[in-house]
Amino acid sequence: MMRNFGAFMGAVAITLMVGAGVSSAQQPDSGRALFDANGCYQCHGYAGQGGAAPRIAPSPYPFEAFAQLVRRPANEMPAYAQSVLGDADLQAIYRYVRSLPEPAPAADIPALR
Amino acid sequence: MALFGARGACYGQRGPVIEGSNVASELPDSRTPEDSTSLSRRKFLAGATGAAAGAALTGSEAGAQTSVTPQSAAAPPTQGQLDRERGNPDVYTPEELDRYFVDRPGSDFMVDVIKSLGIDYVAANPGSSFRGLQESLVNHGGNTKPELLTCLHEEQAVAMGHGYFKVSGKPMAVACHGTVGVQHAAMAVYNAWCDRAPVVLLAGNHLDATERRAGVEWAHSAQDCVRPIRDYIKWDDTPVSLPHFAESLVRAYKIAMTPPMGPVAIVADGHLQEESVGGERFAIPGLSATQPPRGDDNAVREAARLLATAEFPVIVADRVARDQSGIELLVELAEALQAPVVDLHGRMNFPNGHYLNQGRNALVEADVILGLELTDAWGVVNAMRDRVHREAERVVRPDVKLVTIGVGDLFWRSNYQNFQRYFDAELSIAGDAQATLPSLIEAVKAVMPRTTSARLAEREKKWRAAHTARRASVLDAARYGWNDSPVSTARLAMETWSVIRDRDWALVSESFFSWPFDLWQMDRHYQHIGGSGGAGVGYGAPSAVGAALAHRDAGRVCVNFQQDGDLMYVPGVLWTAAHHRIPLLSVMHNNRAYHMEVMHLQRMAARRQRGVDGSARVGNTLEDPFIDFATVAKGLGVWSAGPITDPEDLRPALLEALAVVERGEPALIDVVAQPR
Repeated sequence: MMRNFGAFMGAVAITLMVGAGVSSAQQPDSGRALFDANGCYQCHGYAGQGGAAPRIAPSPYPFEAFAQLVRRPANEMPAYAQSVLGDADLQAIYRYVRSLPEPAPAADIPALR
Repeated sequence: MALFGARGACYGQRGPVIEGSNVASELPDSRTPEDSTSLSRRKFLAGATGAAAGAALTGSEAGAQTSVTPQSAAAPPTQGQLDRERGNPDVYTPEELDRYFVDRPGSDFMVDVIKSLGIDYVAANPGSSFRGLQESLVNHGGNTKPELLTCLHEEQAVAMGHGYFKVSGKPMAVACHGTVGVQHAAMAVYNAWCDRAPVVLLAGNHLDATERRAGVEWAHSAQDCVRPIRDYIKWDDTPVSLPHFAESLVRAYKIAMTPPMGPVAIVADGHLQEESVGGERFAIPGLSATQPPRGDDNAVREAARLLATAEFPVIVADRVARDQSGIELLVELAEALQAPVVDLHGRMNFPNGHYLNQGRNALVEADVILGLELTDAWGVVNAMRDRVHREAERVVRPDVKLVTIGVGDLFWRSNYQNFQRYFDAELSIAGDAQATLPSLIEAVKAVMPRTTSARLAEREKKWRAAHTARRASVLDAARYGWNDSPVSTARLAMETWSVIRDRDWALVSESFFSWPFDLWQMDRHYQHIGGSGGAGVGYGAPSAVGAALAHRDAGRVCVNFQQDGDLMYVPGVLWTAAHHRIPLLSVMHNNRAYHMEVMHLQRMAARRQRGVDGSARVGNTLEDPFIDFATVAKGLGVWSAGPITDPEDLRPALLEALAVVERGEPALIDVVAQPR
């Protein structure tokens, strides 16, 4: 079994952040579930911290930029069409990403000193 | 027999084989046809049958070659005859001795040849086609230098040899059981081939069809035992006599160790192993190691001119350094040019704390790139992204000049495509990069314009700043997701680093995250062994154990970031580590999936606008049930902890495992971790 690891490691994927127009009815919990179910975690990590693709949390892009990147990415990130990821779900995911707290400074983490 | 007989006759010219100590020397005149056949084959195997090999020995012929006193009716009984008449069970007739015993088996000589090469280990999953060799390793060779390593799969054995070489610089021998052993070994052989790592395979086989036992021995024999792997080994042979075996094994070793290095295979015929060599003494050829080829002087001077006059020279290193001196030479060259080094981590090539250690971004401005031991020169200057339409795009300046030095052009095979895409370099120098670096450094210093000192200082300042900024950026990135569960890969790597950093340590695995290369302090060649080469899953665990074995005598703490999917290919290697007391700290990067495939499936689904929601997990995840790796390890005799899901539990477990490793045993911590 072979693995095309390099192709993914070189990817620059930006995903799943919404600025204006977020429904207040959407809750972070459902956003986390959608974040996982739609595979955002695969490249960006469960906390949006990045991995095979850049970090996306907790400082989201404006919605307009995000929408462009998710629907029509310029890099290796797969395009998420409206038919598979509706705007409402996207907004819920955004709420989750925005809800993630800023981590402690590296200087406060013993293993990073 | 005709084949062997013909060859045996050649060696028979050396003289008589039967000596006083030889069992056959006591054969009486009243030999049966069956006895004659037996002796005849023994003598041919010894290479001493001479021109008479094809003819059945007559009693007088046999007697002429021995010191046996012809018996007569008047002669008194010998002590042996008296003993036999008294029923002493420890005394055998010559016929019985010949029927039951072998006192100088051919495999003893094979072991002598292996020892002459300084091979320290023979890794093997046992098999009857090399039972003679195995017995000789233990009882003739004393099971030391080489020591037999008990392996639970041939893929494990070869991968252990692969990892062992990259630390010790010496090949390991691997004994494979005929057709089945070679085929089990195949995947690991391919990885070693792609990674230019020498491994010496010894394949047991029974070539003589007339002497195969019915059934399995036929299924495990082949006309051409090594054929399944011939596309990805450097050389092989099927010796038909013991002198032939000696010459071919020494030759194979020499070929394996000549850059470009690679695996080789020698068939150890079962009959050759098991039959007596009689009294013959065979010479073992000496090993004349081949010096690595050095690049042409004129070409090296031209490369130096291009580099010295470049505005933005950059060095890209893949499988360059064979030892610490290789690292030091590369540092010297980089500093002479103030050229950043992009380390592709095929080997540990360049200290990551050095300010000239830079990422691929350094290539963007480059006007001259020096590629050292690249497998994929095209991929340095181009990219083909994974999109619906596969289109190549240039990722560096269009006017960049690429100079390559390496042994890659010297030896390839056609079928397997690991040679990567063709690229028309400005200057391509055939030669071992490490061996060529001294002359290149000298040439660069000779042609470097005196006016460049200010420019060099400017470059140094620039790259120092870039290195500092890059490290700070990575350190900052590591804190995101720090307290998340599953455990972030940054925390996995840095908590591990925090417990080993004050030890003499080595990373003996690949890593699917870059934290160690960015944030650990790596400056010794042995601190990282590079990757698998062929990206064949199942390499990670056994290569780590093999590397840890090579580190054992130095007392280094070896760390293996172990992929979950990889471990399940050959989990038995954990037992081997426990059995042979090979200390190794395995920290599972358990993302509970073949995660690369998850991402591939996600891409396919998104591209087809369907089934994005969770469908990528089908067929790719390792859940329902989760694999309990701590229990797996425990069952194989390895100290273990986990599964760890709370990152706060990681450091205490690491400290506990470290104590186990430091008393000379393997330990495994199962950490449920983020995908990447």
